[in-house]
Amino acid sequence: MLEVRDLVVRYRRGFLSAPGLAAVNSVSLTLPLGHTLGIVGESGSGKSSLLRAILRLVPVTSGAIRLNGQDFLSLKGPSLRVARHGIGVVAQNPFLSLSPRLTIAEILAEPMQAAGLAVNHRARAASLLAQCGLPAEFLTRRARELSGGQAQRVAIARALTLSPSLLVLDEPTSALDVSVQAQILNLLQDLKQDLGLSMLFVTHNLKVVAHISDSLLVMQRGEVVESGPTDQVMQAPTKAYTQELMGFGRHALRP
Amino acid sequence: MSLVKRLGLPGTLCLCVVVVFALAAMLAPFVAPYAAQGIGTPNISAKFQPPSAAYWLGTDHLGRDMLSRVIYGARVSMTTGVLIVAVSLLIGLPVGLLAGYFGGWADEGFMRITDIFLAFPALLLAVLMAAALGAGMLNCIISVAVTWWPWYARLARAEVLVLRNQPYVEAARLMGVSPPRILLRHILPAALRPLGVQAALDVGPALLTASALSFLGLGVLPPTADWGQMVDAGRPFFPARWWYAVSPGVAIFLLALAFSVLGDALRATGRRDA
Repeated sequence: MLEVRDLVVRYRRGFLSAPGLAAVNSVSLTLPLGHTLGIVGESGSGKSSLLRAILRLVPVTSGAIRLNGQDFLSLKGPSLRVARHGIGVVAQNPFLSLSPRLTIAEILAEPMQAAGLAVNHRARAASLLAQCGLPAEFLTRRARELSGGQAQRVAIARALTLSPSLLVLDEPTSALDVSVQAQILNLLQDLKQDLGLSMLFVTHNLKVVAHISDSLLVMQRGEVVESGPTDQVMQAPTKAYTQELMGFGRHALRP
Repeated sequence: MSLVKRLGLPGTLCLCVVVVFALAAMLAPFVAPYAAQGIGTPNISAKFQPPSAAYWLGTDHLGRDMLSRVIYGARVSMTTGVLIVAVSLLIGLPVGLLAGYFGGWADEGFMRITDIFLAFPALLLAVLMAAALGAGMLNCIISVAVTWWPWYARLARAEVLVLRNQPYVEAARLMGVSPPRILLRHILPAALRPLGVQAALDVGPALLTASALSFLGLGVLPPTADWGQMVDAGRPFFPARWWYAVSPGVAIFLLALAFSVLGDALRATGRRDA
């Protein structure tokens, strides 16, 4: 359903200076329907640039992205907006990604208004909240009145509003504490099974993503260093870098 | 939270000053001791009276009560000050929003236009405009607003450049929300506060500039009372009949100062809330 070919992202520095290093260098990936792909790497490895390029938030230098067989990079204006209805995005910090000025009901109604969905917005918002494990009382609150885990559930509910086939998660648990992380991961696992979602899960924490992914893609300095089914990568990592990433958390403070 | 606590003592005092001037301006026919003279009816028999119980601030060269004139002048000065800022916001805000949000050619085009306006000394440009358009309150407002809107365009653009990269604005874009909706629903409400503070700060200088134009004979014409024009009219008689020039001068000073301090106080509350 999502296919990325030889994607290169190179940030322009100045007008006259030499072109910068590629943040993403010739990355290819395939995400079949209903699968979950985990993209792992330390900070600066290019995983966020890759994600932002796939979402069309940064310009792509070269390469191709096909979404449901459609050339995603050629879309502009209204047709890009329509294509975006098919992608749900959950960002790292829910307190930044949910508008501080709107109530939860308004936040959840926004995608429905954007897509011109002819349903009862409030009822749909309430059922989305229920699906993400929150009671309907939350509709009248604002994001700052919620805990981190509750706010992230709202962000997930918003991402699901238009029944997307692809869910993109950018470090969805990094801003949360450990016990809440597990709850959010379980919620995502349930949603994946219930809705048959394809997911793109970006994180620096290999352990978080190992639970939920069918396959893994390990990035370092803008390039893919290792990829394959999760079990294979986890049990027999071929690269030292992957082993190092797996070590994080096990003994976090090494000399 | 009480008002004094929010605005601080100086801010609250200045708010009171602004409110007193505004009330006096609105209720001029009722609070002015000699309403007819405030509008401009001469009273030659009492000309150049020093301040007394009958004429608290003395009388001018046509014998009109200075207090009534100053109160009627508040009408003109307050409306010009506020309208100049309002018109400038009305032009500058949309320009800044569009330039900041869309970037590229829209940004280049709009910002080079503001550069042209900002390259002239504001007062000089206003004087030129007023001289070309002719005297009168409306022309005075237009002339000053023309030199002022680029500041608001710049400020609005700077706000948008920060706001458009906020994750919640980005999230709206990723949900396929249309640009006009993003601007009106997410960016404008967040940009209004700093712009509102700047607007409050600017009413004082706007009123000063309008007074300067009137002083030069390019603003409001007699017999309508206007502080700048009154200072000019009183100038030949200074210092022997000091009250003529000083009364409207002090009024300008007080109101301009009050708006500035009030704006500063508002800015401080904004910082505390954030």
